[in-house]
Amino acid sequence: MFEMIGVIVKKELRRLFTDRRLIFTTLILPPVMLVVLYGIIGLGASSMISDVEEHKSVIYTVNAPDEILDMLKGSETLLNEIEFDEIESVKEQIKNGTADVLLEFDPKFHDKVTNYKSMEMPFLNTYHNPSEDYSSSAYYIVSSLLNQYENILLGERMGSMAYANVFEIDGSNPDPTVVDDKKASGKFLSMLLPMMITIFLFAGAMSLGPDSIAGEKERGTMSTLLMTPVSREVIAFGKVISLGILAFLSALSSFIGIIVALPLLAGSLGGEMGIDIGNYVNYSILDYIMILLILLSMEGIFVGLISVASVIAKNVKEAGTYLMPIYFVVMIAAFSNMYSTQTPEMLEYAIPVYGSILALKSVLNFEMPAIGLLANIVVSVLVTVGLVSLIKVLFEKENVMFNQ
Amino acid sequence: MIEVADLRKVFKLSKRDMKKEKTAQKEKVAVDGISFKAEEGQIFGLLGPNGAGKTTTLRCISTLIKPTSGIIKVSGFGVSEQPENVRKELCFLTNELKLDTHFTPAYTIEFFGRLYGMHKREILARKKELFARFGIDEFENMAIGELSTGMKQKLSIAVSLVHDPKVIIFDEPTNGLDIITAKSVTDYLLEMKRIGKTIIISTHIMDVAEKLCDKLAIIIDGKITIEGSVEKICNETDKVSLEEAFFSLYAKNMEGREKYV
Ligand SMILES: Nc1ncnc2c1ncn2[C@@H]1O[C@H](COP(=O)(O)OP(=O)(O)OP(=O)(O)O)[C@@H](O)[C@H]1O
Ligand SMILES: [Mg+2]
Repeated sequence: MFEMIGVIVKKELRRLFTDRRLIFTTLILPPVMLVVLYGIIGLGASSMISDVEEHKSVIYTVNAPDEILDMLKGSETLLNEIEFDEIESVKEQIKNGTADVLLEFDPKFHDKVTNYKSMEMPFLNTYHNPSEDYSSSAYYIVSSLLNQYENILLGERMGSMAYANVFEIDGSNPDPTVVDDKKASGKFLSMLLPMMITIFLFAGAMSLGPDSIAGEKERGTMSTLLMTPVSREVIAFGKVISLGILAFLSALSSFIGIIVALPLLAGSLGGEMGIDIGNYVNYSILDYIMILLILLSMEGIFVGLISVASVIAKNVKEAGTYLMPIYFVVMIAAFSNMYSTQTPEMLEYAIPVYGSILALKSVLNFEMPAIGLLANIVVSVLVTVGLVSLIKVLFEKENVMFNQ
Repeated sequence: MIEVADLRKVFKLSKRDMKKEKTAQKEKVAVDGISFKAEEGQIFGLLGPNGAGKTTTLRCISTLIKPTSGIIKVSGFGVSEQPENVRKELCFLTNELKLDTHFTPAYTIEFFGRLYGMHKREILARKKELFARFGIDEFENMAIGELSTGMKQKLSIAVSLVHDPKVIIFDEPTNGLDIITAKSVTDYLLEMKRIGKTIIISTHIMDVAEKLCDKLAIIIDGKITIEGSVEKICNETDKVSLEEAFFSLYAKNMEGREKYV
């Protein structure tokens, strides 16, 4: 029996590995797409950041006091002093992005500030465009300058700068962000990876399963196989096992794609979050074994579901329609896990698929309880066994096998 | 040897089938209690019009589908009890059984040989013999998809014969073939008969039935109306040719039907 399963599995593998088109679509295209996609997102993000940093803010002032003008000149900005009647046209420029910030000071700003006891408070109107990155960052610069200026004025009023500063934030603190690099990387990975691997695993099996079962029925090659003395059980097992192997390979290739692509993404976004991709290797062998066990047992469920749908379906197209809702449910399970931060209940691990994604997340977060792992794997294996027995029964049914 | 006793096959019709067949009945009796025996060294023919139940009978014998009732024995093995042994004994040839067009003939025959439990040596020897016999050897390393229809058909035959079965079951052997390919197929069947194989074919072509079959069963509406050699059938119906005999039997059957309705 095992020998015959081997013969069928070998044939299925050969089918894929001698077909350039299939190799390309299942093993090469997905990881390449990931790398390209993440590369573009990563490059875009970092070039945007450096672009904003290099940009010289275009600032317009009306009636600005000399102190402010000096401060603004000190920061690297393009400063323009304008008259009151030009305000409207500058506002228009801010709106369309050619100017960044406009500061309109009280005409008697200086007098009012110095004679604050007898005169009313001076006004200062600022204009910026929050939908423009340049404008936002210019506004941020200007605000902090104005804060400094205000502090200086306060200090003058009180007679000493020391009175104006109540406390000092991070003045002599070289390392204000305190994160455990290992945990931070774990958090980042545990948010993305379980979701992605799960989806890759399902998508990989989904791209191959319908063709290998429903497709064979549709093309009439299944009957030829059924005419051989091998029992239908053996054929069913052969199909399921080879689908499992191929889906795993396809998920693996996508996974390698992520490993390559993630630094591109994290290099631009993650750098500030204290994430070091080198921390991948912080997982121990045991962690990897747990991940593998969870993945394999979850894959059993996927391959089972996809095979059942493909056996019942009359053709590849119909199998696709059956699988779409299942794919959707898997996606929901994957995404609903992405942002959950609470420590999961033990019972949650025992929910098929959802529990597996949760377990992957826990392993990546270095907080997998042994009982949860056991519950998850046992449940997944049971569901897989159930599905495989169902496939066996379906293979025996002539109205299922010959429903063209 | 093949023994069929009181075979019945009833299909449950789905709603879609019922619409397609334009019937309100939930079941279709495709084969209605037929019995016959096919002997070694003979070609047994099932002759009948479209929808008579020929293919269904052959599929039951080949274990692809299960009889609703009745007994079928192939070389003494019951189809329900030992389907795997039955499949080792026979080969079933039909247009519906296809080969994966991606693989080469050489690989395909090797794969099926392995599934029949043959050793690589045996398979290679058999491949050489069969491919030479059907003229496939030149094409054995091309993808099947690139072969002509006739060549594909010949390859199907060669592949099904890889395990040198004692029983050959052939649904519509000449269907869709040009006369040259058709002749090479019928010649091969005659050759197999001579070396003592049991052969059952189905056909609705009088000419094929007359020239090829030692024994015939005319099957109409799931029932065998007459059985025997062409000569015997002509004598019993008092007609000079198989064709005339067939028409008279068919007319009689339709009459009988009208009485029931
Ligand atoms: N799977 C099935 N489900 C329902 N009805 C079926 C099924 N297979 C065959 N039938 C019906 O059973 C009857 C006999 O079919 P069968 O294919 O055995 O006829 P046949 O003698 O081979 O005809 P043909 O010469 O057209 O090939 C037909 O009416 C057919 O519609
Ligand atoms: Mg037929």
